[in-house]
Amino acid sequence: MIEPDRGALGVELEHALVHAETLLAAVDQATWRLNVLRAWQLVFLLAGAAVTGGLVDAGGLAAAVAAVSVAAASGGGVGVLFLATTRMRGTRDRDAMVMVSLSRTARDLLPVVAQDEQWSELRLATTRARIARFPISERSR
Amino acid sequence: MPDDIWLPVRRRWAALTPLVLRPGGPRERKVRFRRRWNFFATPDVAMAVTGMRGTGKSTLLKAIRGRLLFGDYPLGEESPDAESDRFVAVTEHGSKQVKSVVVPGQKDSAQGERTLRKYFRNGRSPDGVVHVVSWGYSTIWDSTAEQVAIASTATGDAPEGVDPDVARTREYNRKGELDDFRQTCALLKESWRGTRKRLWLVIAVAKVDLFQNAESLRQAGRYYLPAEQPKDDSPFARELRALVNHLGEERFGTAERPRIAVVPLVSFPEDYPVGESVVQSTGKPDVISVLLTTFINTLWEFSGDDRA
Repeated sequence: MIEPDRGALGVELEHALVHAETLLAAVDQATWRLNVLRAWQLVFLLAGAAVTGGLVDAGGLAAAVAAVSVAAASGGGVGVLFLATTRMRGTRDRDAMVMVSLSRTARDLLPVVAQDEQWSELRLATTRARIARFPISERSR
Repeated sequence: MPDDIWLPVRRRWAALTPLVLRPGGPRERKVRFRRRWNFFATPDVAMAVTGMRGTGKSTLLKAIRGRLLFGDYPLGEESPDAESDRFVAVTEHGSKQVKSVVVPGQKDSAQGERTLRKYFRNGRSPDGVVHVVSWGYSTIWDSTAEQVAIASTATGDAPEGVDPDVARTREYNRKGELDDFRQTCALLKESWRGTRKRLWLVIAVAKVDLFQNAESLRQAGRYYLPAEQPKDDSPFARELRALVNHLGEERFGTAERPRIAVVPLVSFPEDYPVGESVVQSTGKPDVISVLLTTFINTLWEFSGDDRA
């Protein structure tokens, strides 16, 4: 069996944690953007419905044509935003999956690596606090 | 040493371990758990279940609530969050409202931190704690960590007849288990220091169906129980003794009848696969039934019913 380099696992754990932290920042940012896009979807939907309703209520051919145009524009806007959110959600979920996997490995290995490599209490506590920012699994809320 | 609080704890373990090997007849169960219908009742007993990941905390709570049936296989997966429950414990002398929470083994996680804040900090604390250990047979949910455990050289020479992968994995898990118990003790010291209520603590040595022989049970006892002389304590027993000394022995009952126990337990018979090997469960329904009943009676005895 190949003897692992003393301290190598600790360094690798540190690298995995840094990568997971980068992904956590990306996931948080993507979640915020998704919320903004969802809010815009709602705005488009409500504004389109209100304007279309008003135009229909006014009556007349010109108003009817305008109502159809507004409804189509609103629907188009909502559709484009839906596509954008779907794409963004896919990327975010992929990042979240890798993030959870890396942080779970780091969390599990931490006590053993810290003991084997005789980490200081401060280093252990700091690393533990960094790991505590991550969820247990993708199913966690 | 007549006032040694650990003597009755060791005696209880010694009395229970023969049941693992020869369960005898069925035991009388002194308490039944029922669904709670009064949603306005305040809990009489707050209980927390702690322990490292994969020791079977969730399965244990399901088992004592009667939600596991022989023949059904529980879904063995990582709990994504804390699991809280409210139920009623009924005896012939009356009933008590019980509030329980299974603390995630991953205390250093967003969900773990939230659970600790909610149940152990800001003036809140449980009345009693069941700390689940498994003598190294806890499930490693992360496959990378499992590979690292198997590849570790910590226990290069496994004892004769023991698969080296299993020996290394158990060694890896026991390091994690000790670290988790240290974290739990630090948490309990902080949480219980601020209260004056009577406390109880049960160390549940789970999955004994995976090491169901006299010598292994003796070794497990030596590891988890404080010895006659503190200098002979294992690292785990040292932490346990330090916790009780820190909070004060008198808070855990009298020297003759302490509310501290180390008990063997099987929640569900389950094999333990490691790499290409499998440790077979020897768990038989009568053993599981007797150990669970004894465990439930112990819980009830500690949580306030002196007639139990």
